[in-house]
Amino acid sequence: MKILIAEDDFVCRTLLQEILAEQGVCHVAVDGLEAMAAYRNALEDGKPFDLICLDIMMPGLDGQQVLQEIRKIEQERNIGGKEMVKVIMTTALADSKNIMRAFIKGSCESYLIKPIDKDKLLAEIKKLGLSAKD
Amino acid sequence: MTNDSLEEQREIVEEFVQECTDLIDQLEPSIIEMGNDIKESDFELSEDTRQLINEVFRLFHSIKGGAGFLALGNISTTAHAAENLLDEIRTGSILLNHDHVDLFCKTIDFTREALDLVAANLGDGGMETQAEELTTLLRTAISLKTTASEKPVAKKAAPPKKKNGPPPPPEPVKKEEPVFEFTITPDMVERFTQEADEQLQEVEQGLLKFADNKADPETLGELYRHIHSFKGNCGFMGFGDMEKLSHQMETVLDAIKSEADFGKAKPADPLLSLLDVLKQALGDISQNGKGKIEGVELYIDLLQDLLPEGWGSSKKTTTEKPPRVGEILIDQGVISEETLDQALDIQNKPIGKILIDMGAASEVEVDNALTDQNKKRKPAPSPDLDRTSPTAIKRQDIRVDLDKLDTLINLIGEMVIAENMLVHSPDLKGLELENFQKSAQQMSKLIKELQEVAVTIRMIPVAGLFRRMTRLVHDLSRKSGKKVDLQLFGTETDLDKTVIETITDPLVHLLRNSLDHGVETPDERLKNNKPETGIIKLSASHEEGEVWITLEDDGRGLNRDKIIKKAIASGLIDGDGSDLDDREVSNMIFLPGFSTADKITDVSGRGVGMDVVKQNLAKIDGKIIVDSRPGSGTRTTLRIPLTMAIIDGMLTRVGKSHYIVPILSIKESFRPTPKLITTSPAGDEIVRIREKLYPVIRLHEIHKIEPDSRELSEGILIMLEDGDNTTCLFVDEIMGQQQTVIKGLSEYIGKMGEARGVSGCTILSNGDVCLILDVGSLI
Repeated sequence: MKILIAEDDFVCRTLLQEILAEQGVCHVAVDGLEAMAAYRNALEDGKPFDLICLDIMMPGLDGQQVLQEIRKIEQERNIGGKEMVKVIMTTALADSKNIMRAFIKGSCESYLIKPIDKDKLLAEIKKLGLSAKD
Repeated sequence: MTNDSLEEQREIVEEFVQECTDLIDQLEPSIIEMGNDIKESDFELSEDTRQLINEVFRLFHSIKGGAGFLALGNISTTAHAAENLLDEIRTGSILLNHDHVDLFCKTIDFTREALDLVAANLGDGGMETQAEELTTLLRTAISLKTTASEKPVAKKAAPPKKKNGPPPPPEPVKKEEPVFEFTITPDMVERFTQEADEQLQEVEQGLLKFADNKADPETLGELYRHIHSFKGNCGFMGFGDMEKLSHQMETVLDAIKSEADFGKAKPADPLLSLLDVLKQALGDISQNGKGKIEGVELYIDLLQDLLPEGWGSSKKTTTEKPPRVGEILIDQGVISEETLDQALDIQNKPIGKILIDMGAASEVEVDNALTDQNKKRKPAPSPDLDRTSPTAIKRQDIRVDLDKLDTLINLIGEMVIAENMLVHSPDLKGLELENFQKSAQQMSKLIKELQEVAVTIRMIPVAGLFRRMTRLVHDLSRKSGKKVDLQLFGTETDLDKTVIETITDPLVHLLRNSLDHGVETPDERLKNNKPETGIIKLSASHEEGEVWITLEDDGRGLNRDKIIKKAIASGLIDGDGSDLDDREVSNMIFLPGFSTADKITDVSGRGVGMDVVKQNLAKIDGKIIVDSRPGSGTRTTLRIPLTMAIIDGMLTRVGKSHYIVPILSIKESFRPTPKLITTSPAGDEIVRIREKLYPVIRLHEIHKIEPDSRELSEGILIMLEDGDNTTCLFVDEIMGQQQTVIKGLSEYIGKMGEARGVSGCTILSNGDVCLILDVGSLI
């Protein structure tokens, strides 16, 4: 599985990388623009990401914008249904607007609130049918 | 702490409900559009449709995600199942067919309902059965990998199990699970019995009056309408026997209304006793019975005997209809009509009111729910807000009680009057007050602005209303087998919320008519060199200080000869009708009880519909105009005044009386010279302006008052325009322009049609009461 971790905070990023390392190849991006570039490159190469962990508060593009941008690209390229990339939001923002915006406007798969709990994250991945262990 | 998190939870759920509702509103047209690409045989999904499917998939996906996060299990599992089916369709392993589209529509309906529940209880518990049924249907649709050859078989759906009306059709049903199932919840049955009981009581009252020979045509019309609605409700709930019986009663009432000769038979008595039969059946239903009527055929025959010989020979079709009409209708896909009716029910019936009546919810709870609803419907309150905060994507709104808004608008109305009284105070006459004049002008300006803002507060765009019509057209066209393309224009036009609610019903009636009677079947259209697919245009626009909602179809148009014939037969016009122009003839269809249909179906043909349309419009001072060209279509225009509270008026005087003339209807005013005036042989006065002739109306004659002068050249003529009609009104003096707050007339003087040419009254600056002229009825 190919994973993209978009997170500007070093500690969080490392933690996620540690947790997800056993699940597959992890790429990292330190801000929204980098995340978009990584997503686009992977798409061009024909090896798109299977999972994206997305922080919201990042410099440049924020996670919400990245998410909507990704969905827009998918729409343009006619990537739909089960082929859409799975996105887990990992953020400290727990207000209703952000949560619903991510779900409804961005069609994210899951929304985890920081601090990230390893078991919870792995459970979500399993639920999405991406777990490396099965 | 717990309180805090509860509050938080509530906020998230509310956000969810609001977002989801918006989403669904987008989703619905997409789904229907998706269905438009379906062709009869094997076909490849077009690129556009594929995109649409992706779009719909994403929306369902969003709903699933959000609902999953909030542990709204029923919504999320259903959305998930829909998503799965869509995925199969997308990849091409299942061929998209109309049943799928219907199924998605149903999922949408379910989600809407569930969202209402969520808004009220913060959870979707209680919808389990429905969710399960829907999920099973969706799953069966997946397991049933339809290929093109199998498709027709799969299309034959079993009838709804829970309905006890018609027996199942004889065809072997392919699979256990019916593709369509419309669930009638106990809650709906309860609502139905309640309403039906009231209707029957009204009918009884009316019949009793009729039996005593005290019934005027109005009572009969009322009576007729009640039984008509009752029949409709029965049909909707699937109580076939009751529907059949009430249908027959309706036919008899129709005969009575048209003053058919019943000979010695007294129709009232059997009708009354049959009413008791209906009541009994209704009682049976409320006791969880099936509403069956023993020997219903016998009763129907009884009523048939009652009908005068030859009555409605053209209508015989109805009385002789085979008992299994319900069955036929189901085969034709009547289910979609039910879903439609249900949707309509949800949309525009005051559900809250019913709930209160039933004691199921307190008034406060319903008020809260309503406010919620408002919030969801309300657009950004003013564009300025958006401008100051360009970054905010979400519209900014707060919830306000409708009552408070109404109070505010009323207060502003009063303020306009107070300002008038202050600025034009008689005490100030003849004084040089430069500074006062300045401040007074400033205040007038502000008040005018305030009033304009106040009017827009209650406005919402018609887009929502129009979108609902998309669904209606889809369902109706599927049912009737006609192909129709509904085009929407001017969806951003704003209208008062109550106005939108009032015109929903009329619009539904008009659309149904357009589809039922206007647009022809594909074969017929091809024969007449028209494209197979009919076009219905629905548009909204601002014109002449009114909002015009126009419904235009390219169907067969109204049949002038038929209307005239019918009008003569019903005694509505004298003579042979050749002196009437097309528009006058067209507008006759709005007379109560007028129907040219040869056949009376369950849907239309009784002539009740158009009457309802007119009455609803009259409630909001609206007008309705029909233009029709035989063979090429019909255009119906609903003209609705922009605001019902405050207008710009011209104050005029006749003798000692003052009148306000709405400025928007005034074209010009002038003092005529005697040579411009001629008198026609019939004694009517006519004034000639720029080589055109206009009739003169003397206000003092209509209202029987003493004018300063009866010489036209000594007074002033005001040229008034209403639609295509222009006329000149004779008054003594024009006194000035002013903002006018309309106050309704008391019922004893203000009854429609009794006070000619008056639409309301207002209070002048000196405290006098003054009448506001209604230009439409004057002309």
